[in-house]
Amino acid sequence: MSGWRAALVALIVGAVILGIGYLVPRLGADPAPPDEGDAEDTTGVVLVCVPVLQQACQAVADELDLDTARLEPGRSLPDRHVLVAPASELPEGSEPGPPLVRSPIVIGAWLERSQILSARCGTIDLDCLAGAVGERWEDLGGNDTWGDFKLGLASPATSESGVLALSLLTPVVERSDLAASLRLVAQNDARLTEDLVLFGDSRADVVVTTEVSVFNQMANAIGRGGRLEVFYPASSPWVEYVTVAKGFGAGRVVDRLSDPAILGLFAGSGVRPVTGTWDLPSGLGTAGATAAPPDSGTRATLLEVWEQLR
Amino acid sequence: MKRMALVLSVAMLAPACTSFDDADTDGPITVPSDCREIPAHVSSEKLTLITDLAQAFNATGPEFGGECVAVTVYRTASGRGASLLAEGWPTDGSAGPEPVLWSPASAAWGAVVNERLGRRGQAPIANDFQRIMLTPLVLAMPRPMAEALGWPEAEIGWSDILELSRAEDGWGAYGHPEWGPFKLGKTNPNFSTSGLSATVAIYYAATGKRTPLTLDDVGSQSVGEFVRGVEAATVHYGDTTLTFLENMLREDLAGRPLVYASAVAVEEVSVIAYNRGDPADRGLENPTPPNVPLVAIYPKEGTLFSDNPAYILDAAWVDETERQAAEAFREFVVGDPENQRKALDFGFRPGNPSVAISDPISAANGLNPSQPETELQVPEPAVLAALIDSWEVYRKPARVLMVLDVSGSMAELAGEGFTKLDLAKRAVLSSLDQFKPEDEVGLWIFSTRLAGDDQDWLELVPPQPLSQGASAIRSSVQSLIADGGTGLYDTTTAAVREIRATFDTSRINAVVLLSDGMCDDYDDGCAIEPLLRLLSSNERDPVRVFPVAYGSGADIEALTAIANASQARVYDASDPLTIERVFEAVISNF
Repeated sequence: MSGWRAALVALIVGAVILGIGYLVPRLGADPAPPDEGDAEDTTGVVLVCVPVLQQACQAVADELDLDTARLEPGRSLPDRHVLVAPASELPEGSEPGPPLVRSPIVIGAWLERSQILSARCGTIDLDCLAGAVGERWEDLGGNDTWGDFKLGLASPATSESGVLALSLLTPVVERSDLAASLRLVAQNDARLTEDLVLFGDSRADVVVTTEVSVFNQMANAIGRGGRLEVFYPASSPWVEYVTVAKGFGAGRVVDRLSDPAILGLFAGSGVRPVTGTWDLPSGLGTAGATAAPPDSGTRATLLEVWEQLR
Repeated sequence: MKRMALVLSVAMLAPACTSFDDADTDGPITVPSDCREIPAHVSSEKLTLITDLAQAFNATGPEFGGECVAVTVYRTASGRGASLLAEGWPTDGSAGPEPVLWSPASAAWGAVVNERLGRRGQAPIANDFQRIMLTPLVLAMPRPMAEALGWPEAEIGWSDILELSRAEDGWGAYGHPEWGPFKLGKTNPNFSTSGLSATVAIYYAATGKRTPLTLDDVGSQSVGEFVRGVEAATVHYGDTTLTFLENMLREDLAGRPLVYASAVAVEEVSVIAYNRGDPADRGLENPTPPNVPLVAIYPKEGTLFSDNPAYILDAAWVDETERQAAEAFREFVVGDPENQRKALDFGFRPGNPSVAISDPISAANGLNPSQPETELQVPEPAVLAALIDSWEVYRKPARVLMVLDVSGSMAELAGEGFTKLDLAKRAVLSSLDQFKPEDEVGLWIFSTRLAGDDQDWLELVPPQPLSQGASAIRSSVQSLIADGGTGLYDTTTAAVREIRATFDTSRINAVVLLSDGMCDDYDDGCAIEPLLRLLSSNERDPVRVFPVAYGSGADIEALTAIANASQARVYDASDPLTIERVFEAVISNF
């Protein structure tokens, strides 16, 4: 082989190797590990969050120059995507990392209604709710045109928030009263508080859901003629949001999500980082003690209870 | 905009649905030959808004799956859409293309579709939705009347309406005997979402409950008497709230703002359109606002919302490209605050919670954005079906004289091998099933000189309870033949006088007038003015004349004048093949 022919072969082989090196990760066949020295390796990675974290994730995506997308229920995570979601809501076969952020189950209430409850109960907590469910507002000290005390929950059948909220309520609330008061049920906590604001206190007076879902709608509520308040039970379970990375560059994005500046964005959006201490936005306060989430047996029982309630 | 020909109810529960809006496009949306059509079927109240937004979306040059797409918008009544989706969308194009996006007036329709599919073991298809906009059902009242009831401070509801309806001196109980009896405008729940919502709300008010109605509630005698009491105040029913609003505006502009109706059950958005002077929301350039505006009463017992969900259907005919395109369009409509502000401009409460409720939903328009305080839930399908059946018992009975044109032109072929008379006969016979046995129904025919030289009409069956007269009407109709001219005005005059002479205050007193031609009986007079004067002088004993302009030769102008003078509505059956459906709409007034 002449020198120029050998040089040509080497050039072609090198080009093929380079080409394969470029194409393979993009096809998702063999994702390359993130290159710490390559600032561009996250380009094209898409951040996908459950609906209640959309606001937080948009802020994060803007900071990291990522695209965002929605994950359709029942579909697998596409390549080069990072998902942030509760462990119980991940696509089948996902291999999640440790929790990144979390949100306690709280009581969200319209200000006008909460004032009546406060006057009656002193503290708005689960016992206070237990005394209100199944009652009419005129019997609770409110206006008779407010009708019945109306409660909202995300569906435990489709939402971790709903499972945890029901686990909080069932020990203290009579099931018949709960059934009578349950007027707002949504597929997830984001839709729950969105409906709460869209329909106002005509549909629900109080919701039991994640803190972040209430926070998401606090500013909107003011524009719709009301004000939402958050009340913390003495002890409540938390929804923990884990990450799943798939494809080239996705792992690098997950690493970046743990940067203090990024965690600060989550905190500023009303969802609490698992580690560290953070300033929370106005309207949120100190959460109660952390209750253990229900085990699998209890979850199954809760779903049975839910079937009976509905 | 308020042509909610829809709807409903029974339609959503039984295959034998009734609805009137054929799928049709309202805007000049054309799909470029190299683009994929994304059909959106929407209920009529949002047709203009969604068409505008589809045009704006298409102008952005959207592409999905490597294909150019264009959203097209079809008007499909909610009940009809639900029935078609549950029973299988026709693929012959008669109902428009199979929808990718479907937006009925209420999410209750999606539940109905899924429930009916589930009964047949089929998977639900109306799952994924976002709300485009909301509007609550209200009682719209002329402001002075509302103020007489204590508006805006007082809490007013259906129980007050019942009290007014039962008061012997009507508005005299509130210091205004000059306003006469309380008169309620309320559409037929079998045809109109507003009518259905109002009927459901009345049943809730009758029970005093805010928890979901049960079959026991609906079957309760005391509930029935409450419903009967409220319904007794009804002026007439009908398939669209627009009839009431247009009649009210016409009377207002004629200087009689408080004569036709004291309250109308409509959606909040209709109050805004009325107060603009454009109740049909046609975008009139120089509308004339009413002298006396309407204000909204949010019933103290609670009310229902129309929440206008936009579903992307999980149907076999929707592929991934279509789904992505529909999602992008829906996001354009709901997610973009600017587009949501357009919904607000139309008078709807935005479906995007980040868009604040502001003008025109304001006190200046007689509205209260902080209301309603209690939302009522749509009952379960079985309860709803029972409720509608029950309403048929308790609704205000009717006394109707049907007057049919049998002039020679009715013998003309109208299509499919039938004459106009053949089709009219079929429509009349079919409509009899819409009456209840206690309704009094009579039948006249007219052409020229049917009874001697002086009389153009002939009484075939005098008004009598349908339970007694139905067979006579059927046999009379089947033997009709077409001949002679069109003695339109003297026949109408005689029919109105006949009903007025035996006026029954406990019933809706009306004439249904079907005519396919111009008055040509010049010997007896074809001057319309005396007839219009007769019809306009009916405050004490109002006989409504509902004309049907049948075929292309009908005198729509004269028939409209007759309808307007009697505060009723003209119906257009210029295509004779539509007469059966049009006649159903006419009979929905009773």
